[in-house]
Amino acid sequence: MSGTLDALLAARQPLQELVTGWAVANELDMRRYTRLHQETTLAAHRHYCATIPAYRTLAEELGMLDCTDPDEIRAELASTDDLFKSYDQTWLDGKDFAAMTSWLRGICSDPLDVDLTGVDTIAGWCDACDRAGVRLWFSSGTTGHISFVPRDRIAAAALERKVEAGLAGIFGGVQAAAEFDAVLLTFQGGNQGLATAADRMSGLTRNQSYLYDFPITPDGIRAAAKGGPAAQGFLDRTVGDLPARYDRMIDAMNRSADADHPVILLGAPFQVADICRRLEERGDRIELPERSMHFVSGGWKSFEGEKISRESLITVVGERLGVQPGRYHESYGMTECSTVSPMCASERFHIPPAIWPMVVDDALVPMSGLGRGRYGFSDPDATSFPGLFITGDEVELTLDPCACGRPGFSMVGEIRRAPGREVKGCGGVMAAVRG
Amino acid sequence: MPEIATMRPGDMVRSFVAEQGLLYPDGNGMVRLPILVRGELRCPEAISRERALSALGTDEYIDTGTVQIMRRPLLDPAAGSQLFVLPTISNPKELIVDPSDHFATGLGRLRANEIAEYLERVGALLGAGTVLSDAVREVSHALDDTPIAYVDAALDELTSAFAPAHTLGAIDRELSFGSVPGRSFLDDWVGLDPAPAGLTARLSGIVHGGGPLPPRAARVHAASTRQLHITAGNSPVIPIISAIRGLSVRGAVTLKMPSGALVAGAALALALRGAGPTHPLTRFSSVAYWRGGDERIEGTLLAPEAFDRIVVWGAPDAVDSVSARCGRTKTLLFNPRYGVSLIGAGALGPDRFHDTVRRAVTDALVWNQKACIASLVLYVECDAEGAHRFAEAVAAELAHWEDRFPSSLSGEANAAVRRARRGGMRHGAWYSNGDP
Repeated sequence: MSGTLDALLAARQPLQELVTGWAVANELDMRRYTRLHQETTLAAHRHYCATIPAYRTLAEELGMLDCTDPDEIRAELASTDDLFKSYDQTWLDGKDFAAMTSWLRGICSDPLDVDLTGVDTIAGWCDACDRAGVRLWFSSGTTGHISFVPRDRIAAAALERKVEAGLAGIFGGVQAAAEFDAVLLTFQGGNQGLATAADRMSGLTRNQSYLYDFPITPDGIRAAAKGGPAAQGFLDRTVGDLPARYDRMIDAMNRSADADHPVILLGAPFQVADICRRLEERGDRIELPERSMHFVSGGWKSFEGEKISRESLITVVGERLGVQPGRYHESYGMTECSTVSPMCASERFHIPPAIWPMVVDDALVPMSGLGRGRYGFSDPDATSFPGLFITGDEVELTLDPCACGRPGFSMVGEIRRAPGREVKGCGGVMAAVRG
Repeated sequence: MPEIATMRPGDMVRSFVAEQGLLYPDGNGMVRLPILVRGELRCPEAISRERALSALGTDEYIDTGTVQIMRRPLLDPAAGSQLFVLPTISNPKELIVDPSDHFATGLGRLRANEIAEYLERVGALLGAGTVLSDAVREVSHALDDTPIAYVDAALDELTSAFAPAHTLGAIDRELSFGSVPGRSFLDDWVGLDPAPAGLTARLSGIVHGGGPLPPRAARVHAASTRQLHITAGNSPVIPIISAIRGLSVRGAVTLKMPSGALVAGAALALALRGAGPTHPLTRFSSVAYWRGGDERIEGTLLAPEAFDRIVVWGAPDAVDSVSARCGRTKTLLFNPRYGVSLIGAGALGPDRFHDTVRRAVTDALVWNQKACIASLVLYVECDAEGAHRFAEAVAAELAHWEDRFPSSLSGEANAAVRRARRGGMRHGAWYSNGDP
C-alpha cells in the first residue's frame, strides 16, 4: 500500500464518527466537518497526484502539484462525469480491450496488470480487470456511451459497506430487514448502481424476487441502446418477456401478502409505475402487509419523454399496493459516488458528511454562497479514481435548516440534468430494457 | 417618425439613426433596432431599461406584443448586459409577398445592371466608416469575443462584395448555362439550341402520321423567386452576404436577422431603405427578427406556397427544425460543420515546417475559428514526438496572433475549455497559447 493511500485512509477515518452522529443523533459539528474534509481533500490530492496519471497531468499543467489549498484543489481539479467515458467508443465496438485498459490506467491508481487472453466482450474485459484487482462499475445514458468507474478492493469494499449501511437504516436495522421479502426490479448481479443496491439488499432480507434473474452486462446495455441485430438476443430476454416478468413480481408480492411478510419494493420510478399500471389494467390491487415499503432510485425521467411525478407515484403505489405514503423512500446517488443521499419527509436530499458537496457554475467554478448549480463533491472513499467530481446534475444546495431536523448540507427542489448533459442513470439502464 | 424616403443616402441615414436613437447603445445599455417590412421601416417604441428588465424577469427574451426585448451579456461580465429592442411582428403574412405583384411593380423587369447599381448603393451605406458599419463594429466589440481586427477586415471587404463587378461576375458565373453568361437570363429570354425530339414528340408523329414534331428552339428566362433567408450570427456579415445573393437574382427577400448579429441585420434594413425607398428590390424586401421556432411566425412563413426558396444557415437545431417543417419548398441548407486539415509528412520537413505551421494556423483562424471552413482539427503524419513538436509550434503561432490581435475569451468559451480539460479530453496533452 502506498504512503499516500495510507495518509488518505487515515485522514478519512474520523469522518465515520461524524457520519454516525449525523445519522443516529442528527448531530453535526460543522467546523469539524469542514476541517476534516479540508484534510481529506489534501490527502486525496497528494494520493491522486502520486498514482493517477490523468489527474497528475492536469495538476502539473496547472502548476498545482504542491498546492495546499483545498478550495483551490476542488475548484481547479475536480473531474466532470465525462472523465469516466473519455475513451474512444470505437475501441469498445472493435473489441480493442488493450486500448481500453490503457485508457483505464490513465484514470486509475492501480497499474492494472490485466490478462486479456481470450477477452472478446465488454463483460469479459470487466471480469479480467476484476481478476487484476479492479472492479468496474458502469452506468449508461440513452446513447449507450458507458461510463466505467474503476474501484480497487478498498474502494469497492467502502461502496458496498455504505450501501448496506444505508439500506439497514431504511429497515431500522439488520434484524428488522431479515423479516422482509425483497421485490427487486433489477438484474440479479452486475456492477451497476441499482443492481449493487439489490445485491446488498438480498443479503439482508428473507426472500428475494428479481425482475431479471440474471446479471446485467455492459454488452447488453450497449447493444440495447445502440439497436441493431446485436441487441436482439438481449432484448428477447428482457423486453420481449417483460409483461410476464412483471406478472411474476406481482405474484411474488401476492405470496408475501398471503404469508404476511412485509415487502420492500425496489426499482426505478417508471418500473414501479408500470407494475401499478398493470394491476390497474387487471382491475387488481394487492394489500401488502403494514410495514411494507417502497424504495425508489435511478432517476425520475422515464427516458421516453414521460415524466412521473413523485406525488402521483406515491398515490398510485398506495392505491395498488397498499404502501402508506410514510413508507416511501428515495435516495440520490450515482455510480461515481460511494455515498447516497436519502430523502426526508420534507422532500430534501440530505448529504451525509462522508462527502463534501459543492455547486459549480458552467465554467466549473464553485459558487460562493451555495444555490443552484451543477452538483459536485469530494469523496474520500474514492481511493482508486479521482474522487473530486462534478456531476451532470443541477441541484439547489443549501445549509438552511430542514424541518426534519437533519443537519448539514441538503438539496432542495428538483434535481435535473444540466443543459446539454445526456439523461443518464440507473433508470436509463433499466429503460433500455423496457422496450 | 421622420420619413427616410426623403433622405439622400449617407448623410440622411446618419441623421435618421441619430434622431431616432437607433443601432447604438444609449447610456443605459438599450439598443433600439428597426426592421424592414416590405420596404417600410419600423422602429420600436421607446421603452425604459427598468420597464424592459421588468418585462424580461429572469428570461433572456420576451415579446411584449409591441416590442421584442433580448438581453445579451457584455464581454466584460462586470459591465452587465445590453438590451436590444425591436418591433414585434404582429402579422407574419406581411413578410410574404404576392407573386403576382412582381411584374406589376417592376421587380420582374429589373435588369442585371440595375440590380448591380442598387447593390452598390446599399454597399456604400454599409461600408467601412459609415454610421451603419460603425454601429456593427461597436456592438461586436462589446459583445463578441472575436478580435475587432476580424470585424474591421470584414467590414472593409463589404464594399467590394457590393461592387458591380462582383455582383455581375457572380451572376454571370453562377447563373450561366453553356457559354451563355448568367445576366443574359435575367435580362432577356435566351434562345438555346434546339433539343432532339423527345419520346412524346416521336409518338405525336405516329398519331398524326409522318415524322416526329420538329424541334423548336427553347427560350429561357430567370424569373424572380420569393426567398426566405434564415441566417446565422457567427459573423455579422452572414446576413448581409445571404441578402446580396438573394437580391442579385432579383429575389423578393425576407431575411430573418440572427440573434447573434441583430445590429448587422438592422443596419442592412436601413441600408436597403436608404438605397432607394421606392426601388422594387426595397419594396419586396423584409428584414425582421422573431425568435427561432416561434410557431406563430414560422407556421405561416414555412407553409407551402409562402416562399419559392428557403435558405437556412445555422446551428443544428435551427437547421433541423426548419428543414423538418418546410415541406416541399426548395431549401438550401448551410449545415453546421467543421473543417479538418490533413498534413502530410512532406510538409513537416525542416525546410517547410514553419511555413506549414503558419498556413495551418491561418486555416484554423478563419473568423476566429467560428467559420464552418475553419480547420479545427489538424491531423499530422508523424510520430508522437513530431506531433508534440507541431502542437508546440501551433501554440506559439497562436500566441503570436494573440499578441497582434488580442481577443477576450467569452465566459461560455472559457467554460467549454475548462469542461473539456476536466472531462472528456482530460487525457490529451494540452498546449496553451496564454491565459484565457
